[in-house]
Amino acid sequence: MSPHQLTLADAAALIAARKLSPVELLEDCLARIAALQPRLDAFIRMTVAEAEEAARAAEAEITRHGPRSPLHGIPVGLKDIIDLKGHPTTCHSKQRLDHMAEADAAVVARLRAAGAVFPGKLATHEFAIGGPAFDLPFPPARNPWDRTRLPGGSSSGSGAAVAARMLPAALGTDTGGSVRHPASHCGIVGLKPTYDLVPRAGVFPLAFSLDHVGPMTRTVRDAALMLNVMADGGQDYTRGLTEGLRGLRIGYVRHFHETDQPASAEMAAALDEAARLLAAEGATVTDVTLPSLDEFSAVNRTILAAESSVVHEEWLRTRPQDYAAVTRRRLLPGLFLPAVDYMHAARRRTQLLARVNQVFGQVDLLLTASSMEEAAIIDDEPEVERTYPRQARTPFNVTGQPAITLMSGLSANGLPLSLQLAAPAHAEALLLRAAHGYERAAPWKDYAPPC
Amino acid sequence: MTDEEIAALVKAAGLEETAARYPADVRAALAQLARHKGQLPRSSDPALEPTPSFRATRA
Repeated sequence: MSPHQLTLADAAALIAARKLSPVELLEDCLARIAALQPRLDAFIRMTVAEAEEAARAAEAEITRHGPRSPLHGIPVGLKDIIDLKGHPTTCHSKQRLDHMAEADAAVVARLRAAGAVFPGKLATHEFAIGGPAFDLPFPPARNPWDRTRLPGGSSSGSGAAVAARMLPAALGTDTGGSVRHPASHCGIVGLKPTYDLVPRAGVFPLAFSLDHVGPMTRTVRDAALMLNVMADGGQDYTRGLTEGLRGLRIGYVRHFHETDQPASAEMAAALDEAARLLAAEGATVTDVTLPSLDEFSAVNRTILAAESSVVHEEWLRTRPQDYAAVTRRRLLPGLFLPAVDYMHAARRRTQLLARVNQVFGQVDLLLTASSMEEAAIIDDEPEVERTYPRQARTPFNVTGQPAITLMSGLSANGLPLSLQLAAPAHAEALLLRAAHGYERAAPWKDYAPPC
Repeated sequence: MTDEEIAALVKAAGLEETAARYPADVRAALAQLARHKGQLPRSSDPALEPTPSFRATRA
């Protein structure tokens, strides 16, 4: 197996056993990137010289002292709204082409201290909201399963790069589902941790009270290894990972995809099959009812519009031409939003959180849809606009509770289907345990895009 | 919404130049807000606190 095909955990084990050099791993990933980048446009900037220097330093240190952590010598990609010292954080936008990061984002500093290597910055929807767009300084990332398809967004390059085996792991950000959307469409694992568990300093904001930073990986174990380094608290999220599903109570939020926003037949069938598999593995799966997706979406949309408006107000007034048209259209409503609407949304959020916590008094975890259908054709603008909001990810941005998306099947078109599991705040260990149990029982983690 | 109403909102938002350059985008933004207006539940409980909760920063 070529090094670029290894999961993070497998690469880390080989590095620790001195059977794989960080330099060898990086060079193989760089060769993979060079081969696929022309078709996928996952990266918008390479930082090869620095990454090679870091890999050589990691190799020397590991030879003498062993690895600092499982991430020592592992290449990790960064969505380009996350600061990497000495390089631009463009946010995929003309507005920020000249911006230079003077320091690492807090989460990047943690990864660097753990020994991670950063080979490049990854494509995003402009400012994590405007995309896919073809009127920006960089092209949009493509889906490795079918390059004519949307890879999801806004962490589009992160999803494409990890799925295409360019990198074992990447960082994404998630304000209305932007880690989990590309994870859904690219067939990988996307984890949105509890709000504020991972520091946001040095990450360009979209909406302060909804923004999360999360890992995007090929396996649940790899997500746990990333979270060990990224999160506050020093917890080892790999502990208990293999304890399985027996005894867990899982609430199946069937109405999200059956009545609120009806999913495609294949997505609905894959969710039912996942519920059956979870039960077969020992979980108790029962239907539960939450407030409707429309309510969560209205609250998320209103808060996002208000909070993003203070970030973009000046540019919307003075440099509107330097946004993609889709970004401008998505940001402008915030400048007309009455303050009273923002406060109503923030107060409704309290009630929605209370209702979800009430359900978490009866079950340990929730099973829901993530996307309602397979990825749309990337340049079919009406279809992208129609399908983009058809998802069940925003509820957990509104509540701040952790949620993870995994592959749950393949559509007739050969595209990934997906599911989502969610847990109470700070129950990431339980969430990862259940996700790992599903991943182990289902065949999908061994499926790879045909590129 | 009339042109006069739109102009008043644009002026209040300080977006005169943007509206002159991208009138369709401004109209679309206002139409979107109007479309979504009724979708946000509004509590009549005067004491309902927002989330995140408002708290004093401890020194």
